[in-house]
Amino acid sequence: MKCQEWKPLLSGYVDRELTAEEEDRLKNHLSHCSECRVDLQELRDIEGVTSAMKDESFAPAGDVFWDRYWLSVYNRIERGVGWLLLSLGAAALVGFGAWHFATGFLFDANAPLIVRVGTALVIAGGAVLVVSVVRERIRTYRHDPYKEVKR
Amino acid sequence: MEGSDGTWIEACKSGQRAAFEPLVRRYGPRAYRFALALVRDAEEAKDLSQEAFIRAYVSMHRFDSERPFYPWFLTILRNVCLSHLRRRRVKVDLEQIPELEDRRELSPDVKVRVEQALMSLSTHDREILELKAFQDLSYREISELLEIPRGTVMSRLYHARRRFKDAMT
Repeated sequence: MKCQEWKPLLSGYVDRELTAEEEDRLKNHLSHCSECRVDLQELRDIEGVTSAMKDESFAPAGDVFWDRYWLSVYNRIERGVGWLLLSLGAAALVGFGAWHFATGFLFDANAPLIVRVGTALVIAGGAVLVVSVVRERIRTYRHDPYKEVKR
Repeated sequence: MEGSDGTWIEACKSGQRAAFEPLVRRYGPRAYRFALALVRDAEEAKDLSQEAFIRAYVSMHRFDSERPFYPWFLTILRNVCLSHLRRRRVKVDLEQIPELEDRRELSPDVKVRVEQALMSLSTHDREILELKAFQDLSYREISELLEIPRGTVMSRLYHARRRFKDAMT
């Protein structure tokens, strides 16, 4: 095995992630490879530096920040629920109105035929457009590689 | 707030929105940190981590509360950040290092150098270093999150560390 192939194992060794067998093989290699020993020491130094930074949170400190953070999350969840209810309610009302309009007006023999045919075409066109957009959205959602991964 | 993640998750599933607060407070700082490592903008990191929490809450009914919450949440957060980066399509330059005043007591020299070195790495390198060195994930967890074999985790970490060292010098 070439030296370059041992290199990734050095990271695993520093992180204590190697199996016992991998560790034995690597130690054996290290015993006669000064280049990899130097590399290992450098990786340990790097790990030491990042470990020392681990507790140094990059996130803003202070209860005020996190209070506001949580409130914002809460409000956005609540608004999402609000929008969902509003949309469902509006859809139900629009559906109800459309049904009554269709049954009451389109089949009203007193209304001029041209108006009834024109209205029917407008409704049919609108329905086709809605179905098309919804179908496209569903298709896009299904093929979006960045949507949340289900586990 | 005390309590196990599973308890809060079950409460969330039963519709108690307030039960989500302990999870947000517990994992918010780590989530913010991870988002910051990917997008390198403090305000965007805040927004994106919040967005990930909202998506997690909405998807909670699909989550098995016997499993650890954070790796699952991290998957969502990572996808949110990557989608954002993809939309943004802006090559971030080194001047866009997040504001230092947002940080907690950074000592002047080494810590700032470490931070600048991290920010100068590619998103690819910074992500793997962040997951191991700062998010404290095991190789198995990183492998699952990034959907790459364990050997690739080791190899990516090795090269990211070498480049980090070069950036430090």
